[in-house]
Amino acid sequence: MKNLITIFLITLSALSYGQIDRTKAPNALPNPAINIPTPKIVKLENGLKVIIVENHKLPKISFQLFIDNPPMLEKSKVGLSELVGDMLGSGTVSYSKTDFDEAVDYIGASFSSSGRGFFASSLTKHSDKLLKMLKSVILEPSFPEDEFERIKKQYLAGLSANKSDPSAMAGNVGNVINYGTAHSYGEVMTEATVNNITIEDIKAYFKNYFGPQNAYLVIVGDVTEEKAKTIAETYFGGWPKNESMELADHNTVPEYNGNQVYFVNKPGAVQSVIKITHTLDLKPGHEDVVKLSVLNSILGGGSFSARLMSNLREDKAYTYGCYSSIQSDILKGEFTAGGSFRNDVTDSAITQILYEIDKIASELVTDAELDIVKKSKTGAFARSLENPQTVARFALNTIRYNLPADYYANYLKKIEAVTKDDLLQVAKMYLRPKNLSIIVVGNEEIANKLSVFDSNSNIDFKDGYGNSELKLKAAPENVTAATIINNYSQKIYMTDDAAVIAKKDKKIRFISRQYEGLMVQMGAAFELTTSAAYPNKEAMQLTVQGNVMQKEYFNGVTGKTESMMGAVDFDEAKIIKKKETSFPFLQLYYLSNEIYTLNLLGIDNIDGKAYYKIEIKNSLSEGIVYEYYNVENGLLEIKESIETNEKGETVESKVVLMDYKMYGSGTASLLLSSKQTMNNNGNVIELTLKSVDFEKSHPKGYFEGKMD
Amino acid sequence: MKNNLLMVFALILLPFTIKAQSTKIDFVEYDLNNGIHVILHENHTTPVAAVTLMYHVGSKNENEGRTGFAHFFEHLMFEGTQNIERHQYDKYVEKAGGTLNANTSQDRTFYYELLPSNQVELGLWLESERLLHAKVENIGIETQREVVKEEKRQRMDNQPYGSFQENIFKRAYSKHPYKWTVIGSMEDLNAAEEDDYVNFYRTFYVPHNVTLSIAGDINIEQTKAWIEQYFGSIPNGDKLNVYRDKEFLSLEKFITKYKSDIGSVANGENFSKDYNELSTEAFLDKYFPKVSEKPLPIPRPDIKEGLLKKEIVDTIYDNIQLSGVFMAYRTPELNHKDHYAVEMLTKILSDGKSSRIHKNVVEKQQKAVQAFIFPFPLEDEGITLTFALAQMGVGVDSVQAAIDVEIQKMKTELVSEIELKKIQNQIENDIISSFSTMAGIAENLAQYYTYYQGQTNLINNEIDKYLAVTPEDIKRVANTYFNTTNRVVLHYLPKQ
Repeated sequence: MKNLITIFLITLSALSYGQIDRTKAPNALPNPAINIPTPKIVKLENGLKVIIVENHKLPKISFQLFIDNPPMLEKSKVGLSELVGDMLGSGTVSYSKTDFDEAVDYIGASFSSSGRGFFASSLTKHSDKLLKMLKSVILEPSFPEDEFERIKKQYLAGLSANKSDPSAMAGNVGNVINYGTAHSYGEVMTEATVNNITIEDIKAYFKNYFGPQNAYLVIVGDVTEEKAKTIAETYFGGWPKNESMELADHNTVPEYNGNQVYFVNKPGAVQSVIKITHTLDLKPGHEDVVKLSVLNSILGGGSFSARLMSNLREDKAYTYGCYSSIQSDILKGEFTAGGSFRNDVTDSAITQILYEIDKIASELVTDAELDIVKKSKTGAFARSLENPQTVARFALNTIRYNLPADYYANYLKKIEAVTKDDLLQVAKMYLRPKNLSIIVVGNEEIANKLSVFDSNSNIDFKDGYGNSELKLKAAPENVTAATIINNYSQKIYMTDDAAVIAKKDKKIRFISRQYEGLMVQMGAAFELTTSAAYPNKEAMQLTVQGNVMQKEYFNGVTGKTESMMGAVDFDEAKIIKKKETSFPFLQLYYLSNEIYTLNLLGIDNIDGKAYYKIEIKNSLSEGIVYEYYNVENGLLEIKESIETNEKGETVESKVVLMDYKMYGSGTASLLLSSKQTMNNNGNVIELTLKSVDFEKSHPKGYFEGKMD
Repeated sequence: MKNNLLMVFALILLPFTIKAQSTKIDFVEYDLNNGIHVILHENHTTPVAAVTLMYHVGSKNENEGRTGFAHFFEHLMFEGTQNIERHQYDKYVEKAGGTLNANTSQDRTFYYELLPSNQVELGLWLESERLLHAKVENIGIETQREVVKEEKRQRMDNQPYGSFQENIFKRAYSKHPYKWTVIGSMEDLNAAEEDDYVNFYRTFYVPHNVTLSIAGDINIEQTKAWIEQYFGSIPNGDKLNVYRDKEFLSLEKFITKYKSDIGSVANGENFSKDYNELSTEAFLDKYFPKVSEKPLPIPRPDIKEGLLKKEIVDTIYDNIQLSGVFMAYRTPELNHKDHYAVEMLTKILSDGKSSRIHKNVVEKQQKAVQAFIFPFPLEDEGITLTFALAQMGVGVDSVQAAIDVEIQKMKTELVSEIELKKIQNQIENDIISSFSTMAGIAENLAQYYTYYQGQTNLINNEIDKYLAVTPEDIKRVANTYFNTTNRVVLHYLPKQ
């Protein structure tokens, strides 16, 4: 009665304006009761669990089949389960693909499928026809080969299209970085993995993984519980059980120390997609899930007043939207923050996102922030109930994750109970502000501004699938492999005067270098002498504390390796390689000897220095050598080689050549590296060049082993 | 105690909504004295309500040189009002457990609050503040200018094929403002000045240009009372302008502007005291007792371009992997008798996997990865858009030819009864599905009223217009509109 009077008065007062107080927000009426309907859950004899949500708001009904398979590895066939999904409804024994599509469309129904089941809906009056089709999809799929080939082709085109989609690229890279490619969440579908999938794989997958005992049928809408039960029995009661399957083994996910920056180049991009992420241990239903959900709403929820949005959009106008998320998962959860930002504020945006992550993990939130988020989440929960599918989802989660029966009924109470201290505690426990992966997809011109965010100041360049990519800049047009090699030769001779070089060549016919060496891992010191004579003679001797440990020599025709294990003659293959002229240094013959093919790849940036990177292939061997010539001084400073040894293993070695100095005097002199670091498949050796002898001829028998 | 009444209403209505299973949308509609149109739909299935305002202004009301302004202005409408501090507007809604947003099209700007049903009055207060005296400061303008530019980059410039709208519309229209996009150009966004904001607000944010549509768990009588309170009291015409000026102008500027209206009174000591101390309503009553409340005319483009005269073909090079074909045919406006036949035609061609273009061009011939045709809903003369992404290794000409074959068939052959029935069933399903949320119902009601000259009940009987379309109608519109001379063709090719 009181209420009626109030309305009467309001109506009266409205007759003349000016009497309402516009300066204050009106008070709310008492909160409406939030009523979460209880779904009916029944289990059929074949193990199929049926969740029924009766809702007669509209004359519509929906059927969802959800196969609750654990995440599994697809290895060389990533995309398999997705393809199985697309093959469902692409032909059954009773319906050709064309008939099926016609039948769905004719009743105005919708049908979509995935590797985990299907979702279909129609007006109630058409549901019997729809159910007949759905039964056929699950009980008698025919997996026609032509459809399989067609869908595969669609996948390949889709993958191609993704190459220009920055969000898809950021997603791939994020998954690879967070989970590693040995984890099912880190597996990335590529052209190769799609091409590996066969129709037999599809059939086997369906046979093994689609069974009623780990499936849920969710019926929502304009149907009574009794009718829904009958529907489930009639159409899916005859679905036979299959072998139950095991949980795939999952490797642990990678851990990172310090922040890492990953960059994917997207030519022509006018914005950078930024994704800042790490994994976390958070299972669905864990008591921290609600707290972290509140925390995330304050940090990067969808409202304009969330911190990321308020700072990066409403205050700084760096972006149209900036958000974060904290996902729980049965294997491994994930934290992510980011958005799209114009090129010139990409680094500033990262700075601000890092600031906000750091801040929320180190300071209490304000009372006002907590209050508004609690109210907003309470309202969002209530609004979500407008969709009857929400109730079905609650029921499905409750069973799947083994949640307490009153988990959702108590959800609002749990939100209400969250305190500021709770939030700081979970923020400290779950967020890792110092161990973030920072992924940026954008225009390459912004990449050089990002190394400051990496704990090693080193950006990892990735392609759109998360593979490492060496990112090279193009060399200037007038620079070629030939100009680089010629320039290098002149540096070594310390002259560009051909006459002087010819003189030097006459003077220098034998060079012997004495090194002091250290095997870094073993801490063992040694001495090394390497010698060479025109045109192709070579020798080397390794001594430890005066004892000769190993020597090797080649006289132009034959050669031997001597060690404590005895002497071994060079084999034919080695002799062929050694015979090529390489005196006084190998690079001098790169341009004239046709066995070498040189390819200038571009300018690489290593530890802040720019290098011309040249790929050298040798027709006598399988391996590839990369040489890095310092753009500024023209000197060869890094040499990498990748070869396959006799056992078929890949052997990578890297030599860093430092501190070039002049050795010798007058015409008998060259510029040589005085310090070298050699890394041979992880074994590191440091060499210091103590002295060099230049002679017109070599001692007799020297290259037959008489080196002393 | 206040809850009782709502509970009683809920109990009375509940059995009806369940038993009747009716998909009819009941509503009441009426005009306020100042010209605001009100539509109310009462529905107690969930304790939520959508409070929405549709302003009949979009990018087609913009001036050349200020493209993108309507949408930019929409962003500014969240900044605050005379009574709501900057950055507080959205917080009121969140604190109430609600959510809010807005969007702008070529033809209208739509604001909404989705609220728990006990907070309807709050939504009305907020929206009345926006209409009566929204406040825009310089800092807000500069911030939102950059935000909108980021929105353009994110949605258009950095998206594969993202420039297609701009490229299609600027070729499909030569005079009508539809020739520019809702988001506008960076240059024009930069050019917007203070006068633009004032004039736009005065011209388009006025009561007779607004439809207030509310759907949800409401009590109609109480809601009507609140609406009268918050919106019925908003003046219109010259009076609204004086009202806003009194609140936003300094005394000096106000006097300069209204010298001829108030004369020597302005010089008196009382006037400046009253200006600063009286409520705006009381001030107006005292000094402007006779000011007109007559709604001022709202300029709208009245440009008919008719059909295109000659096919326009162009090539765009973009950062994409798959080539694309985009075509636009000039087709009638929404409220035109042929619109329904055009829409049915496009559904036969591309609604569902059994539709002709999907079945033939995508699945059988495998020339396209995706292909669609759909009418772009516009209040004035519109376009029907065709969009196809070529399968790898297939040329754009070949894709275009395959689509042309399907369009040609529509001109020469009548669609079968079965195909017609299929489309009718799809439409029935679509219409009923659109009633699933209160927000959807509120928007539909407002849209029918705004675009169809007050025919709000189309929400219930529009299906009859579709059912009346015959195979002959479809063939006829195919021949009238789907001709090569009446279209724009764009080929999107990968750069390099």
